[in-house]
Amino acid sequence: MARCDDWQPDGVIPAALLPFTADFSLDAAGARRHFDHLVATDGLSAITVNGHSSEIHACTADDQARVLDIALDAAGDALPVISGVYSDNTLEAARIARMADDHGAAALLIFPPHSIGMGGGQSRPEMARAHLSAIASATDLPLIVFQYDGPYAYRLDDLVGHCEAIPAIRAIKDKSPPPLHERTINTLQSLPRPVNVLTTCSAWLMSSLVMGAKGVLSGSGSVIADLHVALWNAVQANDLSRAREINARIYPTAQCFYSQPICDQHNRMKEALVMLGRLDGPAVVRPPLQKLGEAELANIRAAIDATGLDARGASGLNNLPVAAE
Amino acid sequence: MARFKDYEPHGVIPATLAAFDTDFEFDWKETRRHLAFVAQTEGITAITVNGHASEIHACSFDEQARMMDEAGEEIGDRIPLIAGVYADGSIEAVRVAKMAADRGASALLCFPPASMGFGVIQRRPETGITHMKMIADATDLPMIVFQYQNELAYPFDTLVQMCDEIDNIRAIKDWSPPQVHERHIKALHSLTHPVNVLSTNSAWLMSSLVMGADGLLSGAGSVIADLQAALFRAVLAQDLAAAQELSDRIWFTTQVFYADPFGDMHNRMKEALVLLGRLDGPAVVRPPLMKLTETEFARIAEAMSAAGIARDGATGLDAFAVAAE
Repeated sequence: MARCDDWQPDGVIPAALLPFTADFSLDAAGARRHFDHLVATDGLSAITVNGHSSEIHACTADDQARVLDIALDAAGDALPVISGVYSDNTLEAARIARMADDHGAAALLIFPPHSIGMGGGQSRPEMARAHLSAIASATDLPLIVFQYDGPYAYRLDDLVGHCEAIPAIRAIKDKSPPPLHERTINTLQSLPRPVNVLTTCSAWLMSSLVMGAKGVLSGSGSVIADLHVALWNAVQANDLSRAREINARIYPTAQCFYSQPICDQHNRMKEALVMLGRLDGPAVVRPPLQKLGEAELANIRAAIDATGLDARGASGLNNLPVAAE
Repeated sequence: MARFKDYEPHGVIPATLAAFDTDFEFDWKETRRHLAFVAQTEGITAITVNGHASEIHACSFDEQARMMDEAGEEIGDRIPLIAGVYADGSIEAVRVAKMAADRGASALLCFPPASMGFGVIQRRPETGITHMKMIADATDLPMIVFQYQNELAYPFDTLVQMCDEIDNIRAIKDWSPPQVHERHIKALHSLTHPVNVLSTNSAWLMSSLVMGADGLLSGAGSVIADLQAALFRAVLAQDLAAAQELSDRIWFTTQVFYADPFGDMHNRMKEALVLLGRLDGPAVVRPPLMKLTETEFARIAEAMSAAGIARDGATGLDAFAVAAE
């Protein structure tokens, strides 16, 4: 188990999916296989479980503890495991945080509670502050704050306030639209105690990374983590030509996964893993997510073909020119 | 002034501002000084007049015609002029287009009529296509379709159909959010008769350009055309380090120009030109735009200084000109 309380999350961090059996129960063997595949990817800095991509909204507290244990076992000493804290109830969020800490998570990804919706996110920033503070008091783990776009987004000034008041916040996972994304990067990464911005703008990843994000925390990493690493390395090396080449490969997959309705993104990724033979079929999602139709499945097949994915990863990736080092 | 034959819209295209005196009448002398200043910028391929940047919404037909004449006299022999076609009625749009063609425009920038709002363009795509076809039938000038990102945005299929069916359409000025922007670039480039995508995402220009946009058509070019041209060159040269350095400078200005409320962008640019000594003050905008506050002036001044912009242009750009060749 890798564990470091001073860890500042950065680099490429896939968020894992969670397979279920036909009766919607957790498929522990399938999960282990999926996590093993991710952990074997060169160049990652961590993996995340219990996020949107693991259908956290449909997982019980017991499911979450079990998923974390399987992931920790798969990661061993090789990689830190980040665990999501998803609850609309602050007291429950603190309990989940403590559970994750006890089990051995290396950091926590904090979702905004939906209970700050209907205006609370913007007008009552003390609600979010209390939520984050309660979690920070419950554990010593580094925190990654998930910054949405839309009604659950924290105002940037409030976010800066949270980061300054709560030293456990080491990073945010940022879904802001472009001008605000860049402003967030420039602001948080220049604080006296810098906070890393991990992009979650996987639908336009290269353009986000060139703005200077310190990493990527992404559900599509469950399928294309190796391409994310290649893109990340190219951008870090200022090799725009290679970055664009890899981006061109990512493009069909990203356009497919993040097409409307966006809520089906992880549904599509799970089908992709089955098509690639990285998960046993059929791909099962828990309701309210519903099985995708044939047209969607055909789109996914076309996208993974266009990107050039196979059971192991992105084909021929090692044959791309080596980044200028 | 004669039209530039076979002009293909691409590269760096500033959209210029209009100078008014304190009675809200056109100040043609200052408007021409501004046009002349922008036109001498190295690396630009055309100048756009009668766009948002020149407060087209508040200019009469006669004033738009005079703008063409004044601009034609001042810079028309040196550089192609692109004329905005801004009208909510298609018949009036045709009249404007003919006027611009008669006065030597080399291309037309076609705004979406606001009359397509209230859901019309989404449900009745033939409205937008007819508007463009009527303009195309009236002149043989290359057309640039302004693609908005709000309720006046043409749906993807409508945009593609328009570009496919109307040969005069040679480019779009694209204001779409990132994922859609990249999709437009790929889709319009793959048409039998490829259509250029000019970015108008000046608030996140570098990230837009690395997606492969063919150029940019931007009101901010009225102030920072030289920085935009240097950035465009750096991206074409795949020099990410130089691009990021230039983007960091541009960022100071765009964060201020495109701050909330977005509708004051050209108001701010005009104040910037006065602050820089490139226009005689006071900066006057026609109502309903209203004079900015002292706080805004201070912010603009700070941005110009942080970005290293002086009366004659952005300082220290010679190094980039060399680096990119």
